[in-house]
Amino acid sequence: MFAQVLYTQWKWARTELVLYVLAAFLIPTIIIRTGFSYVITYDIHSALGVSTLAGVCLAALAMLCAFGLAWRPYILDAGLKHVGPLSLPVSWGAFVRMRFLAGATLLLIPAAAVWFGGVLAAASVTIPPTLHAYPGGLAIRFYLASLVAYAAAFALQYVAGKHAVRVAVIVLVVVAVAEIAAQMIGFSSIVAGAWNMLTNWPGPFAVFAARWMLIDV
Amino acid sequence: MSEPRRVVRGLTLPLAIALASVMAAPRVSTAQSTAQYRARLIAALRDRHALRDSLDALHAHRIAEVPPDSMSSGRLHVRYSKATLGPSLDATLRGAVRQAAGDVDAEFGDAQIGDSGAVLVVSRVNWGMFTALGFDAVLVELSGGRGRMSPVRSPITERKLADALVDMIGTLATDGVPANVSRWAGYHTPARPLTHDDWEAAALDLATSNSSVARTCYSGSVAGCESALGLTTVRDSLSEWYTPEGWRALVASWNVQPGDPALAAAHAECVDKKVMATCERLARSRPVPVPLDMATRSTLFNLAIARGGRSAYAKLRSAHGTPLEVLSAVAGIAPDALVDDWRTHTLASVPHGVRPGAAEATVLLAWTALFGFAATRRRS
Repeated sequence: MFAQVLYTQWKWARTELVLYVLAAFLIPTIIIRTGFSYVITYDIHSALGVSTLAGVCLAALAMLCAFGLAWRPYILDAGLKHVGPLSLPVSWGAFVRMRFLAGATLLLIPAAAVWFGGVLAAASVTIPPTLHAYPGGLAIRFYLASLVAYAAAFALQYVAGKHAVRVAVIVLVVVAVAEIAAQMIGFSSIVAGAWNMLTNWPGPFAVFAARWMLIDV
Repeated sequence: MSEPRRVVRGLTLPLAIALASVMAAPRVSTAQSTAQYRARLIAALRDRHALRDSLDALHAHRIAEVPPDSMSSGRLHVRYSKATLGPSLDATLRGAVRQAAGDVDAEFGDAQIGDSGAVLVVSRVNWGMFTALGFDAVLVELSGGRGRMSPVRSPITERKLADALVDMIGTLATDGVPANVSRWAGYHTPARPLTHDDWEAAALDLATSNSSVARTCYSGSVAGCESALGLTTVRDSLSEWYTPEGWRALVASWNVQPGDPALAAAHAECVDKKVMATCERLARSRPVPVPLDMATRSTLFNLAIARGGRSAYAKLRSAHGTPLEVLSAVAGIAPDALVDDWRTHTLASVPHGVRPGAAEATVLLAWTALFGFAATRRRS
């Protein structure tokens, strides 16, 4: 049954997956090649700046892939009032697990494109002597980051159901109001503390705050 | 809404934007003569002295105002107002002073801290944009009109307060740094122990420096490290520290103002057309930066202090010679051994964080499993 769920999800997502793959392949290639053509060999800060820019774009792409693959199946199922999943001879929990694993499997495709694009980009430029290329490490980071973001978005969607967007907006508004109030009365930042918990080790999104560098020291 | 009022409202925004753009437009600068420049410098110096005198007077007044309640622990003496602090903050301060006294002993050992220990003034202030809504904060300052103060914001804990007290003591401990060492370090000799982030920043500075001697240091040359740290005498820093490509990289890092067309043209000639003679002329027109920055140089200073143990600060006060000789005497090891130790420490801190480690990957997979599990708990 997992193969059937995976095939269905592939059919729904293949157009956007092609776009993700193209972006994952072209981002490092174009940014690194274009950026390095302006970089002086020993101006290593500029070289790292180019690499950082490619990393930021890839981190954003990882998030985009994650949210796209997490939300689309639910929205399509909800459009048919979940008749398909509920008519299957498996429990809802088992079905959601298969949906989840199918999305996680499909995320391997853009991650492979990141690796291939990284290898080509690194081979096409002259890297300063104290720097090295890490296409494999970057692809693994891309996969793990997109996986954890996918899991978080998937959980939000499947726990909050059709109210997922409303819940996300309410959380954002409450956090913004609390932060403004705290700042106005001179209290330490609340958002900074929560943000640090989420984005510092061992928080779930620490992977996004790490070094996303195709070319690094 | 009537027609004239609508017209007025419609024009308000464009007029405001136009006014703001006129006010924010760059002004044409005019060159000043040497005499004008000298007069302005003298006036600025006079203002500085007046400001310093008034600050000293203000600080002395603040110190005199503090009631004589006090508590001591080791070489740490704190003056405060028990009535103003209140029982809760008073208890927190007592705990903080005890912690800080232990930290001071561990970190500064035999360092001479003031004539008979350090006297710190702790006072309670209102902190925030609006007084009525403000939260309590505690100010920690050095006595004796030194002017340095550090606020501890809510929530005020023993640890935060103790850290502020130790930080103040650090200022006193590094008072005795010889002038040439202080100058070499860029007047940045923090007393706090080095963290992993400090070492990582130093490693990045070493690995990303534009300087040729920094690259030889990276590859294993201790002499290269000493030169890159600015510890050796150089005749021509530009040619000894940087290659012609490095001159170009130095010039490329400048932010050239559009108000100087001659400089902009020369900058473009160096960076875009790669005319090395122009790069050299421009690079020599400004002070040549020491290859490794002052934060990196301070890691060597802190390493020497750490190697020197309890007597490090005492030795720092009495040591003589070049900065490298002083640091070597403080650490109690040969200069080359100290720099080699620094290089080993620095290179060990080069971040190899692109590929997630096993622990990081495990934690990420655990978060993924947790989110996935949460998703299966609710039936649609």
